[in-house]
Amino acid sequence: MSNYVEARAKLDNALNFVEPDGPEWIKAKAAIAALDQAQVAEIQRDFINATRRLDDAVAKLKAILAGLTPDPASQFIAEVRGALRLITPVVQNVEALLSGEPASALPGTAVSNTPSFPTAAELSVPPVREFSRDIVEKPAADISGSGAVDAMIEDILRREGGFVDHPNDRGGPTNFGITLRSLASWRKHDVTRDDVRRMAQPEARDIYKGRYFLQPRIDTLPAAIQPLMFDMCINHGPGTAIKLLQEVLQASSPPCSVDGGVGDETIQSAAKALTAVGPETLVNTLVDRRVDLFEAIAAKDASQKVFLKGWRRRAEEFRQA
Amino acid sequence: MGFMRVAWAALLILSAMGCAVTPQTKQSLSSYTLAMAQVEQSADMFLTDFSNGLKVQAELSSLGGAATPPKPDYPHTLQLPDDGSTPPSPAEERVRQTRQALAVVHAYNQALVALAEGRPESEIRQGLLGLGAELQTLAGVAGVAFPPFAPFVGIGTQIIQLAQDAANRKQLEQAVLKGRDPVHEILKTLAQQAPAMYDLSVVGTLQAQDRLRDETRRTASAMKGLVARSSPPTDPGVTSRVAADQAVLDAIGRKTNTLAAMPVPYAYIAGRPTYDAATDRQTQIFIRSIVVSAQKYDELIAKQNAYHAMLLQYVELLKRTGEALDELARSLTAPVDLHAEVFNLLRTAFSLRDAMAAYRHPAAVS
Repeated sequence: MSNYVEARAKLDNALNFVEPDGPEWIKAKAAIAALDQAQVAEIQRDFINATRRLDDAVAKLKAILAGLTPDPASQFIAEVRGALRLITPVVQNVEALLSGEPASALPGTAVSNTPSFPTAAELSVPPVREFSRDIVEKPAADISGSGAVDAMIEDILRREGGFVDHPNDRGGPTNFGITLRSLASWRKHDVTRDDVRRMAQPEARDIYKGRYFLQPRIDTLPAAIQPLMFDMCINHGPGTAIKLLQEVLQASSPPCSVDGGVGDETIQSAAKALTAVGPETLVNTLVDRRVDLFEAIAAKDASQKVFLKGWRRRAEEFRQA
Repeated sequence: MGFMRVAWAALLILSAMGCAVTPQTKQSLSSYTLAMAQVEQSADMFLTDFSNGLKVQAELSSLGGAATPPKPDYPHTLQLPDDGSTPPSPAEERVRQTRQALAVVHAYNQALVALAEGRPESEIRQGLLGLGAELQTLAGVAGVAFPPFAPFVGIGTQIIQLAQDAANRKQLEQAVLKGRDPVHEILKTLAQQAPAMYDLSVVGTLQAQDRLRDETRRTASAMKGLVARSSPPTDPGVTSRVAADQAVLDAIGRKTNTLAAMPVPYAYIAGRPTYDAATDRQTQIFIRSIVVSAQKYDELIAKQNAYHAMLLQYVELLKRTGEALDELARSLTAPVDLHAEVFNLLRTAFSLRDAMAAYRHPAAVS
């Protein structure tokens, strides 16, 4: 280091005796730049050498944490806890219905029970969409907190219902809207139909928040479209949902690239579109595109037509007057 | 600030003391967690600085170095985004790995907390979720993928399950003890990175000094041209003023290694109009510009010294944190007098906090 500083100082001193920005000056500057580059290369080598043993340490620590496995006794306790979690929503639903509130879907039942329960409107309480709008009218900074996400998750849980294993459902067994494949990917190991059925609501919430809200960076989008985008991510997968948004934003100026990932360009385009057309138009355009997508799926595969009505209803819940 | 909230999330878990751990363990755990939050906060700052420095140097290198390109002084909390056109350099990859290592250490600390406190599941879960959200926010700010997020929550779920009964707590205790070596290794690695971080900061500071010197030399050259249009002053007031100005320029020239370029003494040319008060007023404009550059030069030195002090404190904190970890592990199984250790650890953490404040406000450094 001291050699570098010394050599550099000598070259710099030469600048005192030449015409500023003249040919000799430029030559000395190029020599200083070359010295700097060599020094930076050496620094990088030093840094890499200093960090060399990090991989091993991280691997060891991860292995220690990942190697923790419950013993059979605590596994049993965990299963009892899981069973208790399954019962709790039933009790809560009974209480909710008795007090005139909409009931949540029941985990562990054979089919989603949501359609058979009275809708929120029929119970003369504010419909779900009103609740969402109340959230989206807050500035983005406020709604990025965990409270707002939790409220969105509540909405989604109401829509998704409990365990479903419809033969025509391309996602296979699904609980709280989480498919077998999504759960396996989340837990990082294979899971069975029973694992999906037994999945407790807190884990579903974790998956929603981690996999479908934070990971695809929905929290960085304008607040007005976050609830819809969150729901779309869960329903269509983050890649498809973000592409749908980007396709809508292609009409903006400059047009947004369609790559299925939220980056600075998408965030800025969405913010600009929101300012240009307003939240209602942007949300409703997205709802239209989503309905188009549902219809295209049903047109392509006749077995999916059975879901079309429910899909449409789900999309229309977000439409703004 | 994200990491403050991360620290808060850790402290949330600590705040309500629950079950059968000794007061010493509680105290050392609190101190260790506080110290680690400070380690994370400062490591994040140094890594961001280092990563930004590498990007800026790569950019300067691509310009060929023929001119002195402008280089904004980026705030240390802002991580410059990857432009995507070139893959990150091996050193930048190492920066990412270091961040990941810190995240893994954080998960390990969560295990420590869960073990020692036996906190209710809901609170532990909340803390982990808060942490995950913070890390993701950090990733958003940094503009890079942050791989540990998903495994984190998985690990968290395991920890919650494991912390709930005695048999598993015993198993976890063993895991914590086994984890000491890799954590030490990570802390040591962080310390070993410090010299390279400092060296890169020196390159950046020297380049910033270059820019100020270049401005001074250009101004001095223009000033020489102005003086050369005059013959020596005859007014005693102007003569006295010129002498004082030359003393100022001489001092600045010596300090900034630009003396040979300075108009000291003024090179008048006989037969030209006399250097009078009107000419002197023009000269003052140049001198003011040189004085301002010299003040910035002083600020750069103060800032570099503050950075040096901060890195020293950081390395000291890493060392103390490792020692506190050892004491903590001992206190899990035996009563240990932790007073001295705790005092030293907190004193070091506070010194680093002060050094960071000095770095952010270099003018306050005497």
